[in-house]
Amino acid sequence: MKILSPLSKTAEVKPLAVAGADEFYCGIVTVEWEKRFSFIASSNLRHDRVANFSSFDQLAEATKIASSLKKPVFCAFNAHFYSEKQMPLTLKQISQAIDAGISKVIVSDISLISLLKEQNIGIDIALSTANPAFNSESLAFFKEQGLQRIVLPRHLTVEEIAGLAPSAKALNLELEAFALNALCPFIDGLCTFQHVGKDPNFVSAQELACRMPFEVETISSQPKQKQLSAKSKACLWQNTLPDACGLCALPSFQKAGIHSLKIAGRGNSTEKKLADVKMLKQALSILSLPQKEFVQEMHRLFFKSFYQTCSSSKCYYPGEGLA
Amino acid sequence: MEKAIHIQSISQLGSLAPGFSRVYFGSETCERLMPMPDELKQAKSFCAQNNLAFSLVTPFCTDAGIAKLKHLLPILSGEDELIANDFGALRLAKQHDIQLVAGRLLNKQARDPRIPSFKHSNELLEYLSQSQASSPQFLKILSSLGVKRVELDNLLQGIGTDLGGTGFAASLYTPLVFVAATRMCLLANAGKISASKEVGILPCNQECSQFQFKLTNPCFPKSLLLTGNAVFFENEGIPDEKELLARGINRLVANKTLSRPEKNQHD
Repeated sequence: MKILSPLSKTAEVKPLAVAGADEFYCGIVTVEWEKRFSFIASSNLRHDRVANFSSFDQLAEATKIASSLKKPVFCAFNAHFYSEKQMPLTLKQISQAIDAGISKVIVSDISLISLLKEQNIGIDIALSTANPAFNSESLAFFKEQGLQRIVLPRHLTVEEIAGLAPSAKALNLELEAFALNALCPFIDGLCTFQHVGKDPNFVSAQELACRMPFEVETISSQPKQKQLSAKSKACLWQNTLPDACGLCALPSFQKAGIHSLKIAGRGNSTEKKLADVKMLKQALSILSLPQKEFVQEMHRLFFKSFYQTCSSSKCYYPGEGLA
Repeated sequence: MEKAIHIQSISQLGSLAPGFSRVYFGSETCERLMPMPDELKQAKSFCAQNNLAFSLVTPFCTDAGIAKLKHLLPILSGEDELIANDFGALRLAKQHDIQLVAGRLLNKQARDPRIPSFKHSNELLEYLSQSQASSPQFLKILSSLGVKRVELDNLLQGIGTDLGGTGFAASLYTPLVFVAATRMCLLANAGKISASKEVGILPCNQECSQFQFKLTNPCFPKSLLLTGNAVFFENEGIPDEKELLARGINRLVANKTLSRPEKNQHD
């Protein structure tokens, strides 16, 4: 299984590749795009400068280094949808990204996918998790649209992913699954909260609607004690950080034939990205351990890397490792 | 203007308010709430007896939901609609002789109630008011699936989608605007003290029929409603009917009661 690392700076390519990254993904929001549409309508799902390249020259430099290391770079144009006015600029920018050396474009908007297919762009198209494919019929539908890879939704169990794998194999589709960071409380493609903050340079997790503190009023005719307990659960995501891990699922992913393991966090610091790649690399190096021992090692690794113990709100695939 | 009412449980059939000519039946967001075949037959029969047109609403589905849908589709026929919120469901339903509709979860819109308070240029506001159905390419794809109607939310920043002259019609949901959905449902096992810190894709006892939550934060101009595995807010204002008809919006869907009043026994 390949390690897919986030990338937002040219200088990150070499150290991340040396640490073990096999593939990179990135985004780009140019000055032109920002001027016309701002980060409110970002051209991809990251709404701040820190997570994005800002010019195709930067992107070309990054792909040149990656190419010299034989590592492909993918670029996300995965806004939920683009308007008729945005579409020509989006198509132009994808063409510029291809010229800059990317080898896959990650797309969500089905209209854009269809236009790219019509234009025969010459590189693979991956379906972003922002257009969730939860079932085998959807895999077949998206294959018919001309896709080569599916980034699976975060909100699937390992059993459900394993269930989709044979269909993907029959359709000759690569599957990519989340392995680290950014466990969204809501389904990416079905969440329309805007990821905006006070500073367009960096949107912090605490500014996201899903993690904000809300005053919660319970509407129920259930006994008071039950209502209190339910209310406590309804507040569960408030003021939390998106740290998350899915490493206990790696043996099941290997068995299912998952092609690529995604590390979320384009906006993270280079140090954090490096630590994540090393963590995943270490996990993959001991995949042959017996399941129980592997899970124990992953719990240790999580504690060492995230400075906290495993819990369900930090776990992508609770059935795999949590007691 | 056609008036439809959206319900999720057969127990709601008996207390339908007057003034509607169509019933939307089913959940948009949770496959665990999909009806059993007998319930679907019962709902259809009620509508036929009361001269009401019928639309089955289905959620985004895992393979388990698709398996359920396979048992429901043969019950639908002719003028019955399937309002699908999943491309896989549409692909499957295409083989059946029924009317296909792209649900509002498939028709992407910028729904965050904070949008009107953001600073934006006219060009940005135009984008934020539109929907994916504003794209001819999207309509072309839907056409290839046999879809002729799309569903829309009543955005606080205004409705920019214009389907006039496209051959497509649209429905507008009111007053509950969809904002987000999850499979890590916070309502699953809500009320059990032992489960108050547990989250994930967990088995549930459909506690969504017992609890709803109103969420308030000064950043949001409207309270949010957490009901089941989805978040909504209320927009009571409805644009002028003539204006809607000119945009191809010829159906209003009343969805005030999206919570289910009692627990389903199956699943």
